[in-house]
Amino acid sequence: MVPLNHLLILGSVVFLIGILGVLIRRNIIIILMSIELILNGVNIILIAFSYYLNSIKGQIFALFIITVAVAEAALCFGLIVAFMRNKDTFDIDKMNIMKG
Amino acid sequence: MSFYSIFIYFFGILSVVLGIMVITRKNAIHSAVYLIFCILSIAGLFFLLQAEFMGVIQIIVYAGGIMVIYVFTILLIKLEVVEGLKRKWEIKFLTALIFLALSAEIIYLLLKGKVPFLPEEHGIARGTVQAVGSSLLRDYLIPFEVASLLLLVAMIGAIMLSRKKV
Repeated sequence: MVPLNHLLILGSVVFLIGILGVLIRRNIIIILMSIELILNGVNIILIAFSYYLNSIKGQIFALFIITVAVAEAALCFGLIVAFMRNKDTFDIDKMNIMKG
Repeated sequence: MSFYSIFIYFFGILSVVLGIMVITRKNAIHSAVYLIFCILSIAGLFFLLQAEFMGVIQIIVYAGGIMVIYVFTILLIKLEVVEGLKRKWEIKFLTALIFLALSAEIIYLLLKGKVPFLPEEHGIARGTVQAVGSSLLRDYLIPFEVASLLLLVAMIGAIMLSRKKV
């Protein structure tokens, strides 16, 4: 049997990889993919607790997290299209004014 | 070490390696393909942790829905490689500081928290559609309805944002 600690470490490592991607990358699409990695790290921890505590609640919360991820992906698609129409680049450092 | 543990470690190490590949590739479409395989290996982990419904949802919704949106976004838009790290050193320093602080906090919590318990013996499969669905519609009915409202708002927002005339 795998101890719970190893699964918590795995979820934390995936979470930290996502944080690192958000911090160091400049391509906006890769930043959004790193956000998906962050959500997946949290999902791993929730499902591990759901298994080890013998409760279904962790899986319900993971389901809601996936719902939020879908909404976020759809909105980010619109944002990227609108951003590309104005600036014609992927670089997030060029996204520095607030008026369209 | 049983086959079960070997498979859990295999999928775990695979997802970490593929996650590192996602954030280090220059080309966005390569990152998207690596992310698809990372999500599939995490789905395998869910199957091994007896969350069958969540594993299926992970494959259908993530690998089949969200990643298709990302690949479409990349393909609809002129593909362009953004240069690597050309930021000012103050921003780099701040980035490293934020990341190290967060890592230190998580490592401290993992070392401090005692989680001695091992899984109990499970006689029945628990993550089935029946178990998840009955819990969702009995105990979490209002969050379920709020989630549907969230999806509606996200759909309207995406249509509003990507119209020609705003």
